[in-house]
This record gives sequence, C-alpha cells and structure tokens, in this order.
Amino acid sequence: MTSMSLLGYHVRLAVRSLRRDPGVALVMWLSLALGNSVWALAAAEQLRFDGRDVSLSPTLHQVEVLRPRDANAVFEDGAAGNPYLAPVAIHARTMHTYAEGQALASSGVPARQSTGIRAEVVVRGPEGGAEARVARFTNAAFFGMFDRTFAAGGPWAARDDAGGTGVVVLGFATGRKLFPRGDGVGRAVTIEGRRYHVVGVLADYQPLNAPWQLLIWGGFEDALFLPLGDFDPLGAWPEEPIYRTPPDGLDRAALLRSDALFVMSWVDLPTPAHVEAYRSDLDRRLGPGRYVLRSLDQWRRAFPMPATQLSFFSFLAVVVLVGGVFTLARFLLTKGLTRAPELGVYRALGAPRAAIFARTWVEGMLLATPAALLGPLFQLPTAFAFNHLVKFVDMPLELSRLGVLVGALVPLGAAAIGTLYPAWRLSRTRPTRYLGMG
Amino acid sequence: MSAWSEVGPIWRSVRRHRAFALLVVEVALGFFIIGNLIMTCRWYASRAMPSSGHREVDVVEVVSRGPAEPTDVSTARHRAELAALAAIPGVRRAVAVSSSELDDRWDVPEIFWTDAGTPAGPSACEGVARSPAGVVVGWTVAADDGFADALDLRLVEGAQAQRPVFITRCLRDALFGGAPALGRTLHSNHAPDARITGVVEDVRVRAPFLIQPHVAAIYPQLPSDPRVGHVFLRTEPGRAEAVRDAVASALPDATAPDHIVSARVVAGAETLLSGVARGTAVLLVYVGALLGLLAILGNFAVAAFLVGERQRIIGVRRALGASRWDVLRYLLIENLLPTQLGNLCGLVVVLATLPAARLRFAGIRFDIIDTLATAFLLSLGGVVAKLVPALRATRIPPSVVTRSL
Repeated sequence: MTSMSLLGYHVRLAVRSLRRDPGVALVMWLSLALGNSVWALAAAEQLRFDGRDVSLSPTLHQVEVLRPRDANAVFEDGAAGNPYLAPVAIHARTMHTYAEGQALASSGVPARQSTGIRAEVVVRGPEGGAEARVARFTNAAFFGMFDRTFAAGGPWAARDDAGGTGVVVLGFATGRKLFPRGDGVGRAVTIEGRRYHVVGVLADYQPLNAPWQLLIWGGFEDALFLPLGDFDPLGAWPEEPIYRTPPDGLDRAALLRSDALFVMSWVDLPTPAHVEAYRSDLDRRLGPGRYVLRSLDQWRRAFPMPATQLSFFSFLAVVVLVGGVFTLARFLLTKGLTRAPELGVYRALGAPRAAIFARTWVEGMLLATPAALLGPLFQLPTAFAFNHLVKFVDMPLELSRLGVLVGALVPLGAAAIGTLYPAWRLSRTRPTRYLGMG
Repeated sequence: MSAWSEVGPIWRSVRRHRAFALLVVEVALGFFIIGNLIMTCRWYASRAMPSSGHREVDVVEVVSRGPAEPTDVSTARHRAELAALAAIPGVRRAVAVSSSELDDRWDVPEIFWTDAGTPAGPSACEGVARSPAGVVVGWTVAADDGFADALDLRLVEGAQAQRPVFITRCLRDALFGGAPALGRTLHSNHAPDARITGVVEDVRVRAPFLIQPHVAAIYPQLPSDPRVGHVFLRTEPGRAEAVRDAVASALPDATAPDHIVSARVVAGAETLLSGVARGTAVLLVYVGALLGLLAILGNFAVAAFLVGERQRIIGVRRALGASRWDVLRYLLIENLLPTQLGNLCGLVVVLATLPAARLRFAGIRFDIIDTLATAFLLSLGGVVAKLVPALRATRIPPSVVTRSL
C-alpha cells in the first residue's frame, strides 16, 4: 500500500470509529470548538497588542537622556513590584523634554527621524459636531519609519513638517468615522477652529501597544496626525506630561520650558557610519556620557514590557487550550481502553502497532481539525461582547489574517501533540486482550 | 451500604483506571482557569464604581472645552463661565477645578515628599506604598477656594481648608506616619513647595486602575490645559438634574461650532474606565460560563462513553442486588473523587501563581470564598456531566449480564 492509500485507510477506520458514537463525537467536537474560540480571542487580542504585523527596521534607534537620580527615581525603583509604576518608569526613561526633543530633531545626521507629541485637539468633520481626539504631532518620515500603510492618499511632504500648510493625516478609525464612504482625501476638516486638508487616511488600526510610543495605557489610537510645526500654533497641551520639577509658571510656555517629559524621538541610522556620526552629534548636543544610544533590539532588551493584565489572560487562554487537549486525550484514551478487547482482536489478526497508533491519532485529528478551523469563527460572539463591554480603546477587535492563522493552527498543533499519548498507549494493546471479551 | 463505606473501594478502583491521572490534571487545569476567572472578575467588579469619599448627591460636573486662545482670553472665558454657572437657579456654589474625579485621563501620577524624611515604621495608611527615601506616589488637583465646602469634604486637621495646600488623610499618614501635618512643607514634582494648611478625609479619583487614588494634594493652582475648564456645582437638594439640563443654555459658547460642553450628575455617573471595569467583569462571567459549558460537554462525552461501554459491569452489580440508587451513587462518587483531587492540585497551582497575578492586578486576593466557589462549580459541573449517563445506567437491567457480544 502506498502511504497515501494507507492514510485513506486509516481515515476511513477513524471515521467509522467516530460514527459508532456520533452524538458523543459531536459533543466532543463542540466542546473543543468552544475552547478554541476562547483561545482564538485571547490570541487575537495579544497579537494586536504586540503589533506582530508591523515590521520595523532594525536600524531604528532611540536616545535615552541620562538624568541625575532624584525623587523621581521612585517610579523606576518601584516598577518591578508595581503594575502601575512600570509604564511610568519606561516613559520616564524613553521620553524627552520639549527642549531635548527640539535639539534632537534639529540634527541632520540620521537618514530619517521622527519626533512625536500626543495632544488632544478638537476635530470637526464636514458633518456632525466637534469631538475631542488625540492627535500625534510628528514628521512626514514617521509613517515610513513605523510601517504605516495608507488606505488612500499618503503622508504630507517633508516641507510641510514646519507647519502652517493645513495638512492632516487621519487615523483609520477617525477616517472611517468622519468619512464613512472612504472619500476623505482632499476633503477639509476643522481642527481647533482651523481648516485642514486631508492628505491621507491610514489603512488599519495601530497596534494596541504602538511601537513608536509603547504602553500608552488606556490611550486611544493616534486619531490624526499633524505636522510637528503645528504643535505651537494650535496651542496643543501635551498629553500626560511626566513632571520632574514644577514648571516655573502655570501656562503652556512654562510647561514647554520645564523639564517635563512628553516628547518621543526616534531616528533611523542605516549604516555604522551613521551611528558614529550621530554619536558625535549627540556628544556635541547633549554632552559625552549624558545619553545612551540604543538600536531597536537593544532598546527592546533594555525595556522589557512590564507584566500586563492582557498577558495574564493570554496565559489563561493557553491553559484553556491545554485543558482542551487533555479532554481530547482523555476521551480517546477512555474510548480506546474500554474497547481494548477489540483492539486486541485487530492485533491478533495481524494489525501492527503503527496501525492502531495511526488510527487513534487520525481519529483525534478528525475531532480537532474542524474544531480548530471553526474556533476563530466561534470567537465572533465573544469578540462582539468584548468590543461592546470592554471599550477601553477606540479600536475594536477585528478578525485579522494572522489572528485567524494563530487561532486555528496552534490548537491544531497542540491537538496533534496531545493525541500522541493516547495513540501510543493504545498501540501497546496486547493481542491477548481479545481474550477479555465476553 | 452507606456512601462513605463505598468511597474506599471506589477510590481503589478509580485510581487504577488509566485515564484517572488525565482527569485529575484536567480538573486541576479547570480549577486554575475558573479560580482565576472568579478572582479577576471580583477584582474588576470591585473597581467598577469606587466611592469618591465625598458627598456626591446634588453635585454636577461641567466640562467646557474651547479652541486654543491666548492665556488671558481663556482665563477670562473660564471666569465668565464660572459666573454664568453659579447664576443657574438651584446652584448653591460653583468651584473651578483642574481635574475631576470623573476624568478618564489620570495616567501619570505625581510624587510627594517632605523635609522630615522617612518617618519611623511603616506607612500609617494601609496599602499605601512609600519609598525608602520617603517619597509617596499620588495625585494633584487644583481647585478654587470653597472646594472643600462645595464637596462637603470632612476636615481631619485645620479649622478650614485654606490655601496654599491641603492633603488627604492617607497622604498625611504616609508622609508623616500619622503625626500632625499642619505647617509642614510639602514638596512635589508638579507644584511649587507649599505649606500644608489642612488635612481632609480621603477623597479618591473614581477612575479604576490607578495607583493609590485616595492619596492626593489639592493646590490652588497647577499648570493645566487652558482650553479646558472643569467646574463642580453644588446644587440645592434634589435640583441636580435640573441644573445639569440648564448648563448648556447658561454658557454662551456652548453651541459654538468648535466648543464642547458636557454636564453630568456626579452621583452614579460612570466613567469610561469604570465602564471598562464593569464590562470586563461581565465578560469574564460570560467566558467563565462558556468554559464551564465546554468542561461539562467534554466530561459528558467521556462519561457517556464510559457508561455506555460498562453496561455489563453495571448489569453484574444490578444482578448482585445493587439498586438503581446504588448504581447512580457509585457513578457519581467515582467522578467526584478525582474531581476533588484535581481541585486540590488546582488550588496549589493557583496559590503558587498568585504573586504573578498580583503583579498585574494590584491587591488581588484568592480567598476561601473563591476556593469554595471554584471547587463547588467544578464538582457541580462534574455531577451534571455525569448525571445523564449515570441515570441512563440505572436503567440497565440485570439481564444484560447474560447477553454475549
């Protein structure tokens, strides 16, 4: 027999075995599909948090400005044991003051650089009332550096970075809300009472944990993008500045003069020569020994993500998956052991161990495969409940290709491994077990 | 024969079964999952609507947001709005604040310390952390004079809450170990040094998921977004809804195209984050029910198979004089024994992983009620899953033993 016909033979035997107890097989299949749906939901949420579908250039770099140790060290010192302080500790080390941000932005050495400030602005579309939304004031290079793709239009020109030209890029959700027909490019919106022209609309939601400003806890999507040069004319107040010492006044100018941290800067240094030249530039701007320049990989190692509630639920989902595999394994084992005399007959009639092994394994996979494939579909009611009950951001959880793949393939792989034990155990049934019949 | 006398023989029989270990592991995993879901669900529910600590009835929160203007213009606008709101019939007092307890944007806390250094002993306020250098993490608010009166804050120290700064009781206890704070200097990273002139009973930010939301200092002024104005209105008793409805017409800019005005009655108002906490708790109940259902289905499938294939054994027991009740009891005890062992193993795993949970859910606890509830639910699920096949088994007649295959 060829291996293909042998496979067909084992599949036929496994199907017959399942058809002997169709009700039980259906219940088991439904149980596995429900378990897979929970896994698929958690996997989809974790994937969009991690931003796995965003490919970043390894040549991205960031500068940490070293600051004297003072009372603010309480954030860093307490981060390891407190879930609330950990994000502040990372932000305190990775964000810059307004003056530092300006100094870094004025360097002409990097091949690309982006400076970002999040701030709330009031937006009004062609229809509907005004709404407060979070804007990111940044450079045109930002979109290329962080792999932001456009549904329509594109980024503004580099010359618009200086501001005053009235251009805006809308985030995915804002674009969909203000221009449901997808015809936003070229249309006008009002921002803080000023007229802006939409030059681009992004094609997708940003990752929950945006790589350009990690851990914006509870933060909404960057709803729109404005040239950095418009930050001052619009009088935007930075979102959640981390104060280090009290500003010398109450107004915005005092805040911008202060050492409060609210600017995020990234640079692209594609060659070792760029890195060396940038180090020299930083020595001149910040002073030797007053900074640490890290590549993206070094940055990720230096700032591991703190424990999140999401990671806890993802772990629980893994346990659900393992539980499902145990249920499947127990079902196959119980079924096989209660029919051990029949297996003994097969063995006595010459069936090799491999045949029993293959038949049991295939039977397990016949149960697991449809359940795994339907898991992402079964997750839809739960995802619907999640989107309506847990609206902590303005980006609903939606099915993605990667989410569906991970939601289906991982349970399938887990079932393939988990079914090995009952298949192996039953393949060891001795031919003399048939004597136990009757 | 009593149920207890059967436990020993059933236990010896069950533990020889090759799928026994798998069932125990499966129940242990179930205990881990359901136990954690109950624990986290309770944690989220407890954060869904935390009390602010002040008298919330007859208080209306008004937020007015206009476009960017020169500072003097925006200051004049806020003053005019405050006067207009104070003039609404039924308003007893209007005070401007920099932030309100209903705000959703409270992500970055501030720090406080004093010249006194670290007081001896632990922080006198339970659960409030203090660094070895005596630095305490908390929150700052700027508020007009009359803030304490408008919200009916209860003074713990001081004759009345005066300028420049008053603090909550927990901040005092954390900073000074419970010693009097009046006249001491408060340092912060957000506001200039100030002399403490009053201590009020704790008030807290109503947004869940914040560190130490009841540790706060109330300053007269702080740097804050001049485009946004927050006002608290204390109304005549029972007039809050009417005042809220009158806010839009009282503010001249309320209908301007780029102006946003909102008014809420504080009592019972849900913030975005408290909605998230409540929604998450509901979702966890839903997921728990779903997982419970799948556990029952999985158990049912195995139990149905097991009983169906053991007709002869059950028939023998029936032929030897076992009643239907004896058969039912046997099958249920057979399921409950490994379930309880699995519960025990699951409890050990939950307790072992509790520190990891605490890293993610501040102050979370797995108490005896959670333990009993989880064990009960899993046992009930096991019984429910086994009940239908077991009841079917009780109908197996003794004559089945005489049949050959």
